Amino acid sequence: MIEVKNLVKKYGNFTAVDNISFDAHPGEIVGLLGPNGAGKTTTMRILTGYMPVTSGEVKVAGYDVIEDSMEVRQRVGYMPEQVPLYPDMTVEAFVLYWARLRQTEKPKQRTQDVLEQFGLLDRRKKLVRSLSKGLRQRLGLAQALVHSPSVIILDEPTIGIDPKQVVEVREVVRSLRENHTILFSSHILSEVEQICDRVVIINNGKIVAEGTTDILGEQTHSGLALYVHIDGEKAHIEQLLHDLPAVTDIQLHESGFIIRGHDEELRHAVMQVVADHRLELLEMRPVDRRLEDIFIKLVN
Amino acid sequence: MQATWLVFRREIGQYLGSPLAYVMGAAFLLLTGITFNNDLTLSIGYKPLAPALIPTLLASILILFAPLLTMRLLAEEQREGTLELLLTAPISDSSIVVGKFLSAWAYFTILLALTLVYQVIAVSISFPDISHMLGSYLGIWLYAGAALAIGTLFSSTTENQILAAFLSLVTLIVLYFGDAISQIVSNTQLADILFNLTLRGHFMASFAIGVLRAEDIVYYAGIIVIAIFIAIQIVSSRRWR
Amino acid sequence: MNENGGLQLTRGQLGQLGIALGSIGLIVTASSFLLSGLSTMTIAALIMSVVGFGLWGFFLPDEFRAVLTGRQMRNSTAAILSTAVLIGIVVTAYIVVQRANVVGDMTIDERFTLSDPSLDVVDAVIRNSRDIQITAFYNSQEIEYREVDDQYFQLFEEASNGRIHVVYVDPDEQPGLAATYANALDQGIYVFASFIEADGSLSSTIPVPITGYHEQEISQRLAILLASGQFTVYFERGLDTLDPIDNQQQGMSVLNNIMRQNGLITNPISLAELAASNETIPEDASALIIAQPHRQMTAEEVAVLNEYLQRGGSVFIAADAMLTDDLFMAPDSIFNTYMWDHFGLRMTDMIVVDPASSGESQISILSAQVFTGNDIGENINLEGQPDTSVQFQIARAIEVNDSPPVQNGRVIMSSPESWGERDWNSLFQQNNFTFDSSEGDVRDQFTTVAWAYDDATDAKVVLVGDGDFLTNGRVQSPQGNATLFLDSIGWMTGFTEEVQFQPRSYNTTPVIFVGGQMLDTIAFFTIVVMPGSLLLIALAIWLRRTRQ
Repeated sequence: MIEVKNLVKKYGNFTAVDNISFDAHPGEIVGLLGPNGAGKTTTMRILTGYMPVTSGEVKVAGYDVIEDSMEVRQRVGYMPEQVPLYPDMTVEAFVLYWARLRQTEKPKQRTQDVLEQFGLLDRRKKLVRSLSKGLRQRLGLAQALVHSPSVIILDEPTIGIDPKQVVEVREVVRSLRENHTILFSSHILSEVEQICDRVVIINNGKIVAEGTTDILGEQTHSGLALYVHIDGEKAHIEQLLHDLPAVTDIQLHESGFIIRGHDEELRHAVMQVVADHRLELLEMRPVDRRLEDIFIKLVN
Repeated sequence: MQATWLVFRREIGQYLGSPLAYVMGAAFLLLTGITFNNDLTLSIGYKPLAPALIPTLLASILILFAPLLTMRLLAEEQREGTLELLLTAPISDSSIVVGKFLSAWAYFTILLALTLVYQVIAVSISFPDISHMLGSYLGIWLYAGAALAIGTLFSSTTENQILAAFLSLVTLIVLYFGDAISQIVSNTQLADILFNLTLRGHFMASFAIGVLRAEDIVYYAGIIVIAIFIAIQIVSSRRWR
Repeated sequence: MNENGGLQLTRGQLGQLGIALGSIGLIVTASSFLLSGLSTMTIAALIMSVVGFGLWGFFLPDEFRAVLTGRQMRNSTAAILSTAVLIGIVVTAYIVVQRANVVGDMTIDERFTLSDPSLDVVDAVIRNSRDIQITAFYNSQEIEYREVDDQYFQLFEEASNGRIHVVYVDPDEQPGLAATYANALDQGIYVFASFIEADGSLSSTIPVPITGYHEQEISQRLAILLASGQFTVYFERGLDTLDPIDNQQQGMSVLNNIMRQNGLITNPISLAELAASNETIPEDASALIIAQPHRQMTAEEVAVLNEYLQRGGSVFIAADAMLTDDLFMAPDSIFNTYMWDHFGLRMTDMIVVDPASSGESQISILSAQVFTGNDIGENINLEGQPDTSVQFQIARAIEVNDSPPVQNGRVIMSSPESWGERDWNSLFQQNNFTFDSSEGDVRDQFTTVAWAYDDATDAKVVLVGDGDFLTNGRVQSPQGNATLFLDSIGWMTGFTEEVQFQPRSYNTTPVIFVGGQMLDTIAFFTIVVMPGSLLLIALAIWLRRTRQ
């Protein structure tokens, strides 16, 4: 349903998207993963017909985004990064407005449906300006889905909302999987890993890796990463840690080390070493795998 | 058409649901009301009421009023990002611009219609020249359309409302007083051409004195069509820029 | 997201500048060609557009080629080109419509429509052998007025099938041309009407004063222009009368000029010379003016005048009081007797003293009673316009025969309180005039202006007991003095009838009187209630929003 071939987008001399290709199929959630400024938003804007391509071919729902822009726009539900809303409209009027603009059949009925789906029904007479950040995110999703699009494009839908709401949004997105093709962008690795079937990792406008979410584990160090700070001479401690069979990788980080390894064994092994050598453990905490780390690994 | 209507309806709702629009309307009525009462007092037993009084006053007021009315139309959508949603909805760019322009014009039309109350009062106490008055109202309505179209055009060029208002104000001032340049050049032919390019030139010498000329209607319609066309081009330029 | 190349001009931008330049050039070319044919402007614009498109071809060769070979245009080029085409269409439509000059008159009075009397005048213009030119002066600062006036001129231009031509002159640009009209221009008159002669020169130029009622003012003056040259008025100069050329206080040039501006031909003539050479007053004489003569007329002169009157002539006589042995129209003089015998009018030996006069003194008498049943008196002593009265300095009383040989009548009389002073010596020498019946002074209401008309011969006479009112110094103070003279001339010559133009009446009536309470109610409603209710709505919306 989404086919991107050799897509290039330049702003003047700056290349925002550099020859990327990927596709997404119905019933699939594809994650577009990359740090800020990687070209995620640009790619999505091209897919929605908001921006032209410099070169390459982009098809959505079987239509070319340039040649058949109207057909594409009819079939896409889009939620931009900062959910744009009209603060002086009521929740219901806002959704109904987009339903009508997108020529939805039975717009009133659909509006009721999506408002119910996103738990906004009891707030439908409220002004948009009075909604909390999370509710606004839901309203953004409601407007994107009101016309039952076959392709849904969500640009960083979980940014800037509190963790409880993040979980909600993720659940909603997963629940949409069945009947839609979903493109989902994020810079949070774990989120993509949780929600998406496949992932496209881009950095500086280029695709770094592509495949099922397993690649994140395969191509990088999955499992546990720990930050360990042990009192003592650095070289000596590094040697000790390195010698542990559970440790597959060790990196200097701040005043301690980041060690990676498999599961709980790692934590246990570290405690053992500290006890055996009568060292003093100053700090030990799990570390999130950071996207940058993965890029470093992938590029290497 | 459907989309134009939807955009129009949302925008007019925006005007009629905003306190600021009513405050502006109150200022508008206060100004026209004072002018009307002034003329009324001066006219008693002396001269007929000036038929084109309110429209002539509005010809200058619109220079300031039109930018205020139109500045937010497209600039706000750009700043809030809603333009991105509009442009990715399956509607033509022209329906967005036209719908917005028409809503501003409709809002002005409502205010203009309110001033007809003065004319009703005038009719009830004297025998004013009603057809002359209605002709001048038609004139100022077209004139306003042209001024609002220019405002819409500049609102499409920037996401800064103040800048949009400023740009259209400057343009309208030039279009209003443009023939003043000819007074410096002191060339009648040039002065005539410049006068015929100004908004004022097509109102003061025709609608205001009770004449309906086809060329003036073509002039205002032309300004509206050109300004709106350019605004549409600017909005859709986002798709290929 | 907007990575612009800064202010640096790229090749692409230069190319687009080229397209814009080329397109504007094309528009200007088309419009100037439509307006003025193949002019310098047209060619210059054409060159500009060629250069513009050349720039485009040079800086964006690929795009240029793509357009030429019909491949897909780049959007920006398409946008600029389509905008240019649209502007071109609008400009063309505007010029076409402007030329068609489709005008609708919205005024209830139809100010922008030619009235029937005006159409009659225009018909007369069409029948006339010579075309008429309206010359109007406006400088570059007066374009707005020109635009307004132009609408009226175009009405006449069109109705006359182009026989009336309108020419605009900028006095700043063509000071030489304006100099000819300098006097009138100084007086605020800026529109003139003239005949165009076969050689293209202008003749019979008359001023067209515009005060706001353009349509009738222009028609009126066109009627006068059409009548011009048809009437010749002679000034009798052999009797030591007022000089029609002299522009000093004692001259009569003002009235002479007014007559000429109204299209009358004025010439001097001397009855004495005619009598001496045995000639008669010319055939073309529509009227003879004898203004304040200083001697009596001889029998020969009277004979010449009689011959003229017998064939339907008209005479305006201003017989003033002066201290001389040779007084014109002295009670027993030949001419006075002649007038009494033929027209039932004669001068008395009394100077009218009017205590009711509000003039400078009792011998400076205002028109107390005016008979409006004739052409002469109808514009004098108009209600509420003090300037329309007539004022005489030391006027003689006229005796009117109430059973006259021909029709006659009075025009102006003094008040009933006035008396006739017979002691001219003391009046002129000591400025002393008191009622003294022993000297023969008579209390009566005296006639100072009278007329006579012989319907058998068509002879007309207007007799006035004063002459000073015709002089430059007094003729316009009050204005009624000039009116008396000009309306007399109009009646005598038939000029008034010829240029008879009945202005339409205007329908719009002034505001009827509205009481102060009504005004207060209106003001309260329009200034307080209407804006106030909008403010209340604003407040309500604002409150509802903040509560949510």
